[in-house]
Amino acid sequence: MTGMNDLDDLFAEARGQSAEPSPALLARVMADAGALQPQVRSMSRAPAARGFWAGIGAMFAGGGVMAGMGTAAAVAGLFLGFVQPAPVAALTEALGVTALETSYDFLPGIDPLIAEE
Amino acid sequence: MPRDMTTEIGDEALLVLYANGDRDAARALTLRLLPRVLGYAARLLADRTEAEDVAQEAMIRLWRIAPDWRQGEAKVTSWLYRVVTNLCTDRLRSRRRRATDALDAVAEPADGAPGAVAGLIEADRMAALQAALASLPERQRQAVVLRHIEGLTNPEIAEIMEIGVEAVESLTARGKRALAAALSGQRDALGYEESA
Repeated sequence: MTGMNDLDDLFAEARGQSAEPSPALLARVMADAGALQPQVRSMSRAPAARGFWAGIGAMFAGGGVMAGMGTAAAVAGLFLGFVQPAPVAALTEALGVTALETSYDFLPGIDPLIAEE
Repeated sequence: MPRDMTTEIGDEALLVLYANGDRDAARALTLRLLPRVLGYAARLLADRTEAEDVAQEAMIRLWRIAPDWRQGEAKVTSWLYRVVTNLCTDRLRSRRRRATDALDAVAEPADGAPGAVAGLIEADRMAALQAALASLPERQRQAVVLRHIEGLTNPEIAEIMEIGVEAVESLTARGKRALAAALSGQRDALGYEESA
C-alpha cells in the first residue's frame, strides 16, 4: 500500500500546482462581472428606510418647512409686540396705560430720501 | 482605485468595491479567486470543461450576491467553495443519472470501486492522484481535497460542507486510507520505484 508519507508528498505536489484559467475562461468571467456589476452610484444616496417619527414629519410636509414656519411665527409675534396694532393700543388706552406711547417706524417711507435730493 | 493596490485589499473589501462599480476590483477578484475555484472544481469533477463551466457559474453567483453581501458573516472563499461543492454535486448526480439511463458499459468509476486506478494509462503522479480521488465516495473526496489540497482547516470545511468538525475528521481520515489503498500498486505511476 502506498504509505501516508507518499500520499502527503503527492498532496504537497498537488497544492503547488495552480489551475491556470484559460484566456477564454478569464474573458467569459470578466464579461459576466461587467454585465452583472451594479451601476456606479451617484452622490445622492438611496432613500433610507423611514421610521415612525420620520413618517409623522412627512405628513406635515417635512421638517424643514415646519422649522421655517416656526421661525416666521416667532418674528411676526415680536413685530406685533413692538408696533402695537390698533386693537391692542385701544385696550392699553382703556386700561389707562400711557407708558407705551413710544412708536417705532420699522417700515420707513422713501420721503426722506426724496427730500435730500 | 489604482490597480496595484488591489493586492493588499481583502476579498470582502474588493467585493464591496465591485458592488460600488469598481472595475479593477472585479479583475482583482477574478485573478485571485478563479484559479482556486477552477482547481477545486477540477479535482471534484475530473473534467476540465465541466470544471470551467462550474467555475464560471460560481463566479456569476458571486457577482450577483455582491450588492447584498453581509460583511463579517462568512469568508468569500468559504462561500465560493460551498457554491462549487454544491454545483459539482449536482453535476455528478446528473452524470450518474445519464450513465444509468444509457446503461453505459464504460461509465465513470463507481464510488469506492476496487481497482479504480487499474485502468490508468498515463504514468503521471498527478493523474494517478486525480484518478484515485475520483474513486472516492463524493463526500470523502470533497473533504480530502479541501483539507489536503486546498489547505483549509477542519472548521472551515465543516462550514462549507455543512457538517460537524468530527464528521470532517472522520471523512478525511477514511478518505486518506481509501486513497492510499487505491494508489497501492501504482508505485510505478507515482515514480516511487527508484526510491523504494
